[in-house]
This record gives sequence, C-alpha cells and structure tokens, in this order.
Amino acid sequence: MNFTRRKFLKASGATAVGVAIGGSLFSLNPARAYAAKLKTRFAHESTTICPYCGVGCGLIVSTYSGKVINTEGNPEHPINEGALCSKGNAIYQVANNPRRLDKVRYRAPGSDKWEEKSWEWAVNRIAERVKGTRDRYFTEKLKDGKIVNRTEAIAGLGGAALDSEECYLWRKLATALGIVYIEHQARI
Amino acid sequence: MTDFSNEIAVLKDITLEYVDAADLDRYRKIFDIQIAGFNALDQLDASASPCLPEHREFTRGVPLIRQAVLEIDAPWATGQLYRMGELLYGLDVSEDQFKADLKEQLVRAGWDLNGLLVWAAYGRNNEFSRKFSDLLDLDSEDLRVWVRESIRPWYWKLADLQTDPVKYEEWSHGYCPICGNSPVIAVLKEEEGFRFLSCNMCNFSWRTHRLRCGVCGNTDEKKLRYLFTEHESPHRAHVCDGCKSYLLTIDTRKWKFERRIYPRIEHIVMLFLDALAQREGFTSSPVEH
Repeated sequence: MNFTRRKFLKASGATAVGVAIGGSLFSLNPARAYAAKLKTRFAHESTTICPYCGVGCGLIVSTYSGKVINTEGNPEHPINEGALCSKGNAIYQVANNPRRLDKVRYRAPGSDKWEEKSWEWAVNRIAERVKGTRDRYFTEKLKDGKIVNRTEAIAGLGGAALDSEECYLWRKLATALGIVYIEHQARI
Repeated sequence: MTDFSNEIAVLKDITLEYVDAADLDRYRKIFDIQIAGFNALDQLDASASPCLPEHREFTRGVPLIRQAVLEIDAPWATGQLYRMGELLYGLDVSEDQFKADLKEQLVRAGWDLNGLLVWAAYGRNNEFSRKFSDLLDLDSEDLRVWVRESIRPWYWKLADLQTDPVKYEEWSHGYCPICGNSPVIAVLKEEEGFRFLSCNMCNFSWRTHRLRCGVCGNTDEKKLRYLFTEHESPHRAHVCDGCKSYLLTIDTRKWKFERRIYPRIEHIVMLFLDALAQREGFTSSPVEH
C-alpha cells in the first residue's frame, strides 16, 4: 500500500465528535466555547383542545417551569390540521394576560361598587342560589298526578372547555337537581 | 435537477464566530468535489447511472434503497474517493496507483468496494471495516467520513429522481424513505408548523409528526422537550428523554424574511446547539430501522 498514515495526515483537529453534518467535519470546540456563554432552557410541548367553541381544534402548548410560553395549532390534529381561528390564535392570552381577573368580584343588587370576595364565599353563594331557585320552583307532580320531580327555572349549558368526565359529572348533577333544560356548546 | 449555485453563494459568505474558519474552508472544498461528482453522474451510461428501485415493502416502512440493492458505479466511486482523499489527507499518489492500492487492500481485508460503500452509509463497524481501517492506519470513523463524503452525490441524485411526492405522504418514520439514513435537521414550515425532516445523506425531505421522537418513536409528551436559548431564535434542539437523542430544529415561522432552506448550511449555523445538546447529555443517534 502506497498511501500510509504519514500521507493521511489530517487537515485539522476535527475528529469524530458526533456531529452528523458531512460525517464529522467540524470541530465542536469553538461551538462549545460559544455555547458556554448562552443561557438555555428546556420547554415541554403538550397537546390539548381549544376551549373556545365546539369545533374542538387541536393545540400544542409549550411550557417552561409550568408557565405557558407559546401556543399554536396542532398540525397533526384531524380537525384543524394546524390552523386556528382568530380567537384560537390568541389563546396564549388566556394564560398570560395581566387584565384577566384571578379573584372573585361581586356587585350586590342595586350597588355601584365591586367587592372582592373569597372563592369559598362565591361557591357557597352559588350553591345557595341554585338550591333556593330549585326549591322555589320545584315541581313534584303534574296536575294529573304524574310524578316528574323537576325544575324548569334553571337551565344547564356545558362548555367546550369541559372534558368528557366533567361533562358526565355535570349531567349527573343537573339530573339530580331536577334540571330538564340541559344543553352543550358543542351543539351550537 | 438540483441547482447548487445559490447554496454555493450562501456557503461562500458565511462566517460564524463558533465555527473554525479552516473547517469551513475545507467544507467548501469538499462541497466543490461533491458538486463535480454530482455533475459527472450525468456522463455515466444509463446502465451505470443511479436508479430508484420499487419494492412492495416500502409501505411497511422499508426505504426504497435497501442496503442489498445499493450498487454504486465503481469507477465513479473510486474517482470520488481519490479526489476526496487528496483534499482530506494530502494524498500524493496518482489516481491509477490509488485505485490499484485500494483494490489490493480491500482484497487483503477480505472485503469489496460495494461492501465498503454500503458500510460507510449504513453499517456498524464490523470485522471488515476494522481490518481495512487497520490496513490503512486510519480511525474507522475517519474512514467512514472520507467514504461518505465521497459518495454522497450518488444519494443526491437518487433523491432527485423521485418525482412522485404523493408516494411519501404516508411516510412518517424518523428515517429517510429514499435511502434510510437519519435526518440532519427538522424544519417547521408554513403557518401550520408542519414538521419536515431533512435527510443527512440524500437531502430528501419528508413530513412527520411534531410530537414524536424520530429516533425511538416515543410519543410520550412528558419525555419530549426542546432546548432553546434565551434570546428569540428560530433554532432549537428537540430532545427525547426516552432514548437521550436530540434533533436540531429550525422554525421558519420565526424568520424575519422568507428564504430558501439549505439543511447542510442550517446545521453549520446550529453547531452551537449541537454543543449545548451534547453538554446536556444527549447524542445525535442514528435511527435504527
């Protein structure tokens, strides 16, 4: 063999550094030195469904340390194939919006002022109102004696943000309360 | 037919503080040899030219070019090896002498030229590659680089020959449907963010799923992350905690202006992300299939 190691001296110090480009033709040492100065982060991507309407478009949500940093349409989702409407495109603001209320605010009947209330107060208040309305307008029997156990004073509307299990629970609760007007946004 | 003139111009102008200028200069010369080799393929007889085979296993995830059917024209390949050898190793023997020596050493290693070419593109090290590397007193990975860079234009031509994009619509594997090699980068394109992988060997580009590891096929979102730098950039490295691999990705939606994508050049631009991903313990693994 006439070509020997002496004749095969390498042109530079680049060796098998694990870079796939053109095999391993680039030394990573300068890149490593450059990269040492950079601050990096890891983000997660999760798929979810847009909560705005009943179409149910697929989304990819990127999060860093539990904070949403990007939202976009999911190109693999069979409904929207990556496309989003104007509301869906702005969904990032659902998670990141300083103007979004994150505390309960209450304005009493006849009042011109908003009061800040606790979540516990709000939940109890809703329960009181539901129970009160149901009791006041509850129909146990029709005039002909037929048992119906219902209230026609309350209606239920499920939202697109509810998942299947939540919808199931909501339906059970509504039926238990005697609500007969039960509807879902997905039909709109 | 692929036109390399724009890519040559872009490569000529590129300067990056994290890329060794000598490496870049040598890469330009390698690219020149490859383009000359690519153009020379048009001079071959039809019987010796690259051709794309058809086979039924394609729909079951077997690439068009299987190792068994790869037949590269021997005179063309040895000519490429000689010119690349001159550049990479300062080879100072005549081309005829080189070809004779190469043949002799392959015989001594119990190997043949086609075996060497297939190994360089696909194979793991084996007794032949080890023996042949020893005979040439070369590191086997250096040998692989030399051979791969030499024959790469053959694969470009194969990818150029495909004219039926519909055929590849259902292909969502992490390896190339044409030649079976791993992707060099992923590209997120169009408003919808479709993810395309770009073959590291033949340049073919095919669409695949956004949230799936191209190497191990993992779809567990909890094990898929991406590494990005603090400043707003279209570049990131998608990593899989399942198999500890990474794939560099460019999000063209973040480009400030529209431009063509040259995967080889984009990878050079993203070399700092290679360093970052490797620092975090991830590797650029070839896809097993």
